[in-house]
Amino acid sequence: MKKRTNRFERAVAKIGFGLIGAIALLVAGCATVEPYQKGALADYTMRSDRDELSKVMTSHIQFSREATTGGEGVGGGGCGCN
Amino acid sequence: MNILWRTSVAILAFVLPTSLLADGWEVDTQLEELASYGLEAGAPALNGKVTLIDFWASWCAPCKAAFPEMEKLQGEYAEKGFQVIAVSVDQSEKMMQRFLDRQKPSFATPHDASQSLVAKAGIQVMPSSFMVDRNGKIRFTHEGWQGKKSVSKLREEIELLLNE
Repeated sequence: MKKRTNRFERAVAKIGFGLIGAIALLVAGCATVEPYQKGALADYTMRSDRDELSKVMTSHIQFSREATTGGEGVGGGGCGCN
Repeated sequence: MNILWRTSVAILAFVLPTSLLADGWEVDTQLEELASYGLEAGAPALNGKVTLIDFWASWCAPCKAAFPEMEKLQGEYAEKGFQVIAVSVDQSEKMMQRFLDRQKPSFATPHDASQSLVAKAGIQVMPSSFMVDRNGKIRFTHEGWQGKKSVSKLREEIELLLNE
């Protein structure tokens, strides 16, 4: 009876340590950005629409590919010819 | 049972430190003098004055919107024993200085370059501010900036603390 209990305890311990290891690996890849550290994220260079030409081209490609022209104030049927 | 006990302790040792680290300033927190945090440009003493400690940054639009109102409050209540300390948490000193040169506030604007003070305060929102009484104890906390609503709330708190 005692042997069986020992085996059970070891199995639980192995699972426990395995879980700790897995959590440690997963958590190591995370970084929390505090509210006062968001200066770099608020920078102008982080804006997706900072380049007007690039924005127009990206929208054109997206509308053509997704056939969704008209969703952003551009007329057309999604043929990519406008 | 010994192994089970050890496993539980190991799990707790892993989980507990993260929860213990989550401290911060709240109502009734007794503050030390801000000068002990190594702020650049120094910080005036808290004792004897009702103080609004405001954490701001040049990249935070609502923080900048609060400046003219804080300037008015400082002008209105300074003689009665009120002061504003606007702690900049900017990582870029150049951007901070550019804003200050334009705004030219009359109150203290120390720079928390190492962000040690703001980390200690544990703020969750920019801007955040703390109203401190004459004894250096936090009495009110504020998150965000809601224009006139914030101004009237600050005014009420200042008058209450000045009359104590």
